[in-house]
Amino acid sequence: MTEPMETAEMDAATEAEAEEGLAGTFTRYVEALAERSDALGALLEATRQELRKVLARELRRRSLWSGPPAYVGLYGWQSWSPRGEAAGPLEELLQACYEWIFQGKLAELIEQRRVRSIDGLVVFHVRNFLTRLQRDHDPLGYRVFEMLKSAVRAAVAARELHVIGGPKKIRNATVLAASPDADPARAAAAETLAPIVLRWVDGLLPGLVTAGGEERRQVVDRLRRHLFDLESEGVAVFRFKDVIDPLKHDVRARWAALRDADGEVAEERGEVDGELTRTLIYVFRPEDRLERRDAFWKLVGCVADLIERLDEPGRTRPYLETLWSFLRRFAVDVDQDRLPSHRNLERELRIPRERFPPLYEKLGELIRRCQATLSGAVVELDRNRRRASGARHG
Amino acid sequence: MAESKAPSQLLAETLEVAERHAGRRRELAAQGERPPALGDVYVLEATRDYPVHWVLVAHDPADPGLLLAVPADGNFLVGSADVALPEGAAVGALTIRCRFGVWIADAHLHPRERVGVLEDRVVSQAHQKWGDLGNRGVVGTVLEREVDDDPEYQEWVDEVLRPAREALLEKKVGASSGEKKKDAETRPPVRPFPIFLMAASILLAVAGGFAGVQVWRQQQRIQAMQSAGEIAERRHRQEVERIEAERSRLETEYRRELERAGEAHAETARGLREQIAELDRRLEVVTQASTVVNPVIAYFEPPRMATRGKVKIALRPGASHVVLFLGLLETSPAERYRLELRERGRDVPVWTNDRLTLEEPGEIRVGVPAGILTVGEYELELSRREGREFRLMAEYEMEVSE
Repeated sequence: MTEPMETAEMDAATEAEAEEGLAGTFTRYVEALAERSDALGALLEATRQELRKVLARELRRRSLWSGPPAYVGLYGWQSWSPRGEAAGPLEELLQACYEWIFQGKLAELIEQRRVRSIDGLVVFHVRNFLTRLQRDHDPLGYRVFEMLKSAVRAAVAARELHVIGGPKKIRNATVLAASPDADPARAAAAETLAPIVLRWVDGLLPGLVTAGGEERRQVVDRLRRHLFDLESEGVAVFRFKDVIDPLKHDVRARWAALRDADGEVAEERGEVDGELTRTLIYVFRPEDRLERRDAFWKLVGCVADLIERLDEPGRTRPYLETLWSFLRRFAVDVDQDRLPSHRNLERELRIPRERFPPLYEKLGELIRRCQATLSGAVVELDRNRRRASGARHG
Repeated sequence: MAESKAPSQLLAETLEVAERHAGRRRELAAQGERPPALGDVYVLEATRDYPVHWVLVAHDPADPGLLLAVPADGNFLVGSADVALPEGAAVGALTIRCRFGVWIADAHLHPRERVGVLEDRVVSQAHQKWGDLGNRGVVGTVLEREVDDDPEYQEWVDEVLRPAREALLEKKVGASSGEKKKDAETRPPVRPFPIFLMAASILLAVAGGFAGVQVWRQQQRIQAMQSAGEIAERRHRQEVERIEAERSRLETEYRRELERAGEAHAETARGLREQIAELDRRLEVVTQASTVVNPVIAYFEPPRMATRGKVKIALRPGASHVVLFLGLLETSPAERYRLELRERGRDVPVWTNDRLTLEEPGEIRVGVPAGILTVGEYELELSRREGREFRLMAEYEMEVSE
């Protein structure tokens, strides 16, 4: 496999390439499927090759190529180019993407083909497929991206910032500036931006990761003001990638550090009920099977809705919202059966530590209520949890 | 992620899916050239530039030849006004976007463009959601609201759903102005504010001079006004949407009333008709001011910082909006604020907006369509939402002259 280009500059070119350079391969394949053409075997191979290229381009464009394949749900691989492996993670991803699009979306593709070429639609579905995987498997990274992109879009709409180079849609390679006449070639170096961006994080957390509704809008607004202030800090032109990368990196690092460095397990100190911890961990454990991911989202949504409707005094409800929002994004990364200590959570979530035991208790109750309501899908989650728990204990 | 499969196995599985789809298409073809019906799904030549299907979810009771078509697409993101089709739906994994419906005459729907039929349950769900939009708006679940805020979703709305709807209005419904009036979601065009900005910049440049700190302050103000212009436009669109939704709800109620009890409920129905006419009047005033042009700016100091003096504004000819900058001494922002604008001595407000938020610390910015203001004195009441209630927190006074 050819090593994909790493630079953000390439993204600008690939943006256009992605839709223009396809030469109708996907359209011809879908036509052939609808007509059961004899050339299907050859067209399948051409389609897989084209799809592989589009996927690789998209991975680069999202800076996923330099991260672990686990960010899109491919576990057990250290990198995208493992040595001595004939079929690496890209092949695994290719097959899942093919099934998602050319089986799951085939009816839509065949019908859209009646009025248009569907190559662009397939490229969109590749992006949509990766977005879904990122959202499920790298919820922290996706959330930070989503928040920063919201802030940039608002700043561009208000003409506080202007897109002066790279893709017009906000992407990694997009070059932004306070003045529309600025020179894209004068974009600040990544090393210049990183320390500035890192100074923002303290004031943005935990809302950057956990806030919803009006609070989310306030965090986006704070980010937008930081972007506006960049010019006064000597950064008049910059790439989106050079802001998002240090931001994501720092948030991930802080989250990772929430696990006690000395290996001390919170539940062993009696801070968290052991069974409840295991419930939470197994509810959130990454799962690649689509039906299980759907069950996961149903449960996450059900608990979030119950919290919203809770009639609890004082700060209990907002604390529960923050904790649940944190857990669903944090726990995907959990590789051991433990949650952060109350001390660490107090520092990052700004919830007094003595509030955690009743909050966890309440969450446990809500999860059980949702599990009872959601029938089949969640029953399976629960069964899996018990199976795993049984395996550990016996 | 998935078990590795040989290409021949992948192809066999794909062909199986293709064959299932072909079978459903054969069943559909066997139905012949029947008239359009609820649940029918179309892929329309008129919107060929956008990857959308159209689902028929409602009849117009007053005009059976008119059907409500809502777009559906393959993007997996599901917002608060959307309905995801169940797994295995005949037309594939699509999501119906109820916010972007268009009333369309059945004559514009050709049988060859029909690609599938949805089950009644899904159609009712979509119809219900569309109806809810016309009530007090759709609240949605926590996760759906997260999707509403997701910029990827917003891009999809801006780049696919809105233009697809506009294209259908243009090419099909636009063919007859009578039908266009029946449009389920007419919105003012979304545009930037170049004229607004130019006006604001010139105004400030003339008033303030260009030296040192003054220039810096002007820049800050221009930024603030720029932002206020955006907010004014957004609020304005929300207001139009709200009135349209309310009108839609009343229209539905009116038709139900007529269907249910005919003449026996004529009195109630007449009342509803009057309310609809009143909303039409308001809609006309508000949509006329859909473009922010030559706005008048009014600054109100925080009430406790200044004596309660009147802010005087002069309505310039051609001004589309009065942009109010309301200073506040708020330490803990509320989720929502409400502004009521009353003519002095009148009980009923001439304008209300209960969806305001604190955009900047200590300031609320809101654009009021100039068309609703006449020469005279006004009282402004700003309330903050606490629980389910709004509590009065500040009063301002404004005098409007020509």
